[in-house]
Amino acid sequence: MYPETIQELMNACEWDSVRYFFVSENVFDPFIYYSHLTPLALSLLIGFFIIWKNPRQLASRILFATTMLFSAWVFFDLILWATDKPHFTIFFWSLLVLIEPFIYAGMLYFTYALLTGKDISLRQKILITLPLIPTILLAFSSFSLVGYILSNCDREALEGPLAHYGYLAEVFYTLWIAVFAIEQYMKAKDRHVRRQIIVATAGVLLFLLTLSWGNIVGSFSDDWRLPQWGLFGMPVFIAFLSYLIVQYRVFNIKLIGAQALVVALVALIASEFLFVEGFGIQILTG
Amino acid sequence: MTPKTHAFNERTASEIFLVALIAFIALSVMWGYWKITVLHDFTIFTNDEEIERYVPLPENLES
Repeated sequence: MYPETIQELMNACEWDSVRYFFVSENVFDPFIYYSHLTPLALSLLIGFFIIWKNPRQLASRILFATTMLFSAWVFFDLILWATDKPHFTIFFWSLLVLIEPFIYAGMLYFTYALLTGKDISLRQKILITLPLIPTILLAFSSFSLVGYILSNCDREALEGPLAHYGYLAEVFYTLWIAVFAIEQYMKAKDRHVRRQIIVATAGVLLFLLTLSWGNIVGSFSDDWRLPQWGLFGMPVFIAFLSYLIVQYRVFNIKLIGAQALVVALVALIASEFLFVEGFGIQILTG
Repeated sequence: MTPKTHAFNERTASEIFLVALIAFIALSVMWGYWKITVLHDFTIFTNDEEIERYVPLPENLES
């Protein structure tokens, strides 16, 4: 599979093998599972819940697609933490470089659909997609990931200019969302509509900014813990979305606050199983 | 062109655009899968000197 010298270096690192794509001793801290699986599960939950309750509305479909993209991103990131195979690291890391700006483009499209209640024109769709063309073309080339680093045992790849271009595209989409939301706020006369705009935009921007922050810190520093917190932007976004659903019946979903609170509490407490140690605490959590 | 026809054309064009985009992405992913996991066509750096050509390493910046 690999040349003998490369295989020897890999063997010297004594990496653990992987089960079910992401279960491995290479994931050296259970916090990594907690920081990934909790947002992943919540993202899947909110995506399927909204599309199930209102499959016809455009905003529901866009949100479903975007949450699925985010879930895929988180799962592939977890694979990167666990895998011992260089070709898996390069392939799944390239997939992250490809998918990540699409999440931002998806949230931009979602914001348009949610705040206007209408679809955007084909011209606007093409404009939103244009910055993604280099990413689609070059995601699996050396412009994206220069190579795999085997001078240490950290199982990392060296990011190339396309990865950094992706961060620029994300800033571009985030600014576009902010400017669009301000425009809509100025146009709206009703204070309830204005409040909805603020809540929706705050949720979207907090999610995207924490995700960016986590990824940029991860790319440019050796601190592995800090970037994990970036994924918790998704539960924050869900909290804002839940408020919109309960208070303003957004997506035409009837949900009372108590139901949302119960689901949130169960999700938060259940996620503790990912990192609690000790039989007694496991019993208490259950 | 009547407004109804124009709306229909816009919707059809949007759908074609979306299908084309998804197909383009799928082709890219399939090519990437073949190139990386089957052909192993990527660089493996086995020492820091090779990496230094692309990015200065933090420990070398201090010296």
